[in-house]
Amino acid sequence: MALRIQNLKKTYPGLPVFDDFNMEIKDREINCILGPSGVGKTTLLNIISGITHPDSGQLSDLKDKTFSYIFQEPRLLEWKTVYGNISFVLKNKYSKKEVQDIANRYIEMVGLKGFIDYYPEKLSGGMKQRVSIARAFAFPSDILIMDEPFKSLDFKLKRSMIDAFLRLWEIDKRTIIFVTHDVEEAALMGNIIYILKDSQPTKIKEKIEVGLNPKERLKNPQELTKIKDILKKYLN
Amino acid sequence: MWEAKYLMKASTIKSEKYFIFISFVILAALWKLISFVIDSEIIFPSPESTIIRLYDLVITRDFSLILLSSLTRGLIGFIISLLLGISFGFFSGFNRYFNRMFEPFLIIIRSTPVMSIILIALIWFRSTNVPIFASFLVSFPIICLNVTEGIKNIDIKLIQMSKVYNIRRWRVAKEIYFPSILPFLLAGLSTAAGIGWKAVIAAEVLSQPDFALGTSMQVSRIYLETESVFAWTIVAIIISFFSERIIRRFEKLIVRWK
Ligand SMILES: Nc1ncnc2c1ncn2[C@@H]1O[C@H](COP(=O)(O)OP(=O)(O)OP(=O)(O)O)[C@@H](O)[C@H]1O
Ligand SMILES: [Mg+2]
Repeated sequence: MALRIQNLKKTYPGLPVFDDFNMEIKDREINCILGPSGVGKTTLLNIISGITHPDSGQLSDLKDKTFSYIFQEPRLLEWKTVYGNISFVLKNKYSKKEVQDIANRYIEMVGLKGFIDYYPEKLSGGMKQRVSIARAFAFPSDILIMDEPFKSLDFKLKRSMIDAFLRLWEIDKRTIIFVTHDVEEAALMGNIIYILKDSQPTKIKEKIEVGLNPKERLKNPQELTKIKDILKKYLN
Repeated sequence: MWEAKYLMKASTIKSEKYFIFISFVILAALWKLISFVIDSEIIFPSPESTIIRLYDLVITRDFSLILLSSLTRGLIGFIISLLLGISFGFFSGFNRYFNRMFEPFLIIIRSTPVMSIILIALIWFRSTNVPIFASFLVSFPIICLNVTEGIKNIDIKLIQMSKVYNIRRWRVAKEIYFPSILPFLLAGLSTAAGIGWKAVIAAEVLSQPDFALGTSMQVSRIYLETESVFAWTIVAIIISFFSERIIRRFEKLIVRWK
């Protein structure tokens, strides 16, 4: 099974973003979208998640699907603490006790245990981003959308977030749609990597399927370098 | 290091209090000086005689009745503006057409001199209701505009986030709309209370209800008891100060995230 995007058309005043755009998103895989700034990656994610309506086109198999979304900005409620922001999305799904357990677990996972009662105003940009990551992971969705989730994190933190993400994904294989600018991230995580063309409207320039499991890639630097080189070639 | 920082902060707060104290001392000294130069209790009473008169007023039997009557009028006007201001502000914030239609009314009310409102109210209402009407008309537009502004300031991106995560409508209202509007509403209340209270007193001066701060001021003026005018003014200032304080306290209690 796969989500199919067919004949997608979306135009902003004077700006065709998508025209006859087609794409397939594989179930239970990490679908990575790589492309330059301003081509329409966020717009695509917003269309998939139902925030933005396309002018025309079909999105098949999206009904009844639930989403988690790591937005390009943290989008936290400034009147709620770290804990409050995460329990906010869990409350209707779980009992009180479960909400506590799940929220605590994911706060710990993103390394914010000591900041659980902080309001967003007192957090750094990267910390806010991590709250947004924890919120999306904690929410039980069919599809997890990530729009440059690891930006504003330093190298070490980024690596530990990616590790945590891959560990989670091994246990709970949701469909992932993952947007990034970063070749390294794409090479580390993507099972299927789409490269978008720098044009208006944009098209899929290349679709690369990576055979090796992300977990094994981490242990195999040569393979990783090879994937990166291929991606770089297509980007230029 | 931490201690040093903490101590510095504590001592800054202390010295800030000190400066407030200095400002009161300067005020009292200036008052004394001017009254000394003018040398006429009728034109400019001295601080001592004003304080003594204030004490005399406070211990009279009618004082609490006067104070309570004026406060009640202010409070009734305030509560009516609060209820109507929130309702109309709400519609205005959510409906552009209503907003366009309603805005001119608010602008007209806001541009009308308080005295005109009071004089017209004198023609329409019983004396005790004139201050209520005046305080209502001056505070209603402020509360209304603030609520509208708060609603326009709601971050659409947060609403999108709550939709993606399937948050129920009433929870979105309670946990996103309400906290977004609250700081604007509280700021409006604080301004409205201050202006409304002044309108109450001005209206009482002209409408002369039986028990009223404004009536007492006006009577004192007619009998050239300038100390009493000063003393009643001090009472009005103190009330204004505390009502603002109470709203600020309330704000701190609810708006904990700032
Ligand atoms: N609401 C909108 N109204 C008008 N134009 C828009 C709107 N949202 C996006 N655009 C335009 O659509 C194009 C694609 O925007 P989008 O945010 O999808 O790009 P992106 O690929 O996510 O870029 P980045 O990598 O910088 O985040 C841009 O040229 C942008 O100016
Ligand atoms: Mg984007």
